[in-house]
Amino acid sequence: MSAESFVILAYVIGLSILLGDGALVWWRLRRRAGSDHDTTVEDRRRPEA
Amino acid sequence: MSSSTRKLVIRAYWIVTLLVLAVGVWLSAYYAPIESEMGVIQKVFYFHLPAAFCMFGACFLVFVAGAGYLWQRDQRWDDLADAAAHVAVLLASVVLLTGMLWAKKAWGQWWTWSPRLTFSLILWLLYVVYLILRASIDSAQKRAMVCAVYGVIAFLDVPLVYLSVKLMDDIHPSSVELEPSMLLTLIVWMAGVALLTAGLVAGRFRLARISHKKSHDASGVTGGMA
Amino acid sequence: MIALRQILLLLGKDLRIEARTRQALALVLVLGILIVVVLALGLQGGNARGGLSATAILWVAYLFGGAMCFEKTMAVETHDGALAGLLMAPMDRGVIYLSKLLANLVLMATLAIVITPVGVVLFGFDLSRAPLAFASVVGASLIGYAAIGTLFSGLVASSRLSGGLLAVVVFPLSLPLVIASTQLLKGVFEHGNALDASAMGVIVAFDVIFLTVSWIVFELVIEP
Repeated sequence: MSAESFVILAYVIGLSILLGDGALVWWRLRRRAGSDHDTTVEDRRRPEA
Repeated sequence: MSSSTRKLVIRAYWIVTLLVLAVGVWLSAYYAPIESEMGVIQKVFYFHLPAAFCMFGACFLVFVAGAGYLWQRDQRWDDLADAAAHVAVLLASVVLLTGMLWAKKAWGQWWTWSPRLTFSLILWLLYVVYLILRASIDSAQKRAMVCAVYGVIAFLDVPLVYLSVKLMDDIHPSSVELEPSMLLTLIVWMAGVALLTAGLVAGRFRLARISHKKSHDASGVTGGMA
Repeated sequence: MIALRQILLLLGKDLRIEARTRQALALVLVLGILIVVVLALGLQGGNARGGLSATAILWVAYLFGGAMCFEKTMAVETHDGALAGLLMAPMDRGVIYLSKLLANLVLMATLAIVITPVGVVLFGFDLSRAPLAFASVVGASLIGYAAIGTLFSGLVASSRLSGGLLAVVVFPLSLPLVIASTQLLKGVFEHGNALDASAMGVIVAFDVIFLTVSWIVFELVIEP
């Protein structure tokens, strides 16, 4: 393999590890936030009822 | 801050981060000159060095959070240590992998026991063990305590590792002469990786806070987010 | 003065238990010898070719044997709520740390005294060239190793972790000791140098830093 492809490979591997983790956290946060929202609505209703 | 403004700020932060990284990629591909001695492969350096720097930053954050936990016994410190340790391991993996690719092209071997390679390997090991330790304790309080102690001790170990690997024979020249254009590229990458690191730590921290808030809601533990 | 008497009291207790049951020491010694023999067979088919591989193999035996010592000396306290009783005794918890540290050092010294000759014989390692240098390097390293090992064995005992974890935790932390001492011994035995001050400095710095930090932290973390 040429030096160029090594450089590209290094950047691709490195960035995909870091951005991949970012995407994973983002996805989990979205899922949590969705269900979290429901519970807060529940919580708000409870004292009124 | 209302939740919609916060969402906006977070979105703006990530857009800026990705833009800086994109500019960095463009700079190292087209703007930075090809180094005369090592050739094209030296361009790995623009990513490798900032990753190494941010790895130290993340390790330091694990240390600060561990010391903070031992001092205040606040769960938030432990969540911060958790987030920082994850990111430290990711960055250490990036440093190792990019370093190995560089070594293969520049010196013909994937691995040599040079001080700096050994150093990053040991750092990687230290923080992987931190994650294993976290995963193997069930009680949240015990986990926070044990991991805080380990985080502090591991960080104190880092300078000793550095001093001890310096005793080994080094075959690689250390200094690289930086031209202004190289320096600019490096600075942009430094900013991009630092933003990315901070964003990842903040995201993981928030994730940990949310999951704690949910599991502790019944017991009345409140969770705030900085 | 009182602290010293307390330390000796606790140390005497641990060593008496060990002397009566001989649980830990026998296990640790046999494990150490087995490690050396297995590595000797694996590396050279019994055809020992001397040199520095002996120090590396001895290090492996010291590390594993040491981890076993840490576990065993702390395990004495985990039965029958002994740890709770110990912590209730009117004494500084630093005293408990120091007495456990000394107990570990006594066991590890015994281990080293037994398995070093085994390694020397099996690998044809010429220890007589600089026995004092070897003893001081290994001794100083084992003190630092015992410092972190004792701290984490206390943590393991008070948080009921699985045993194998202790080795995983203390090995990477003790790598500076391994690197510095093997570099030192290489200089001494291959090139006939005197002890290198900067390498010895790393080992001594490790000892001082982790003895102090562990002594302080132990007090915060040990719980029944």
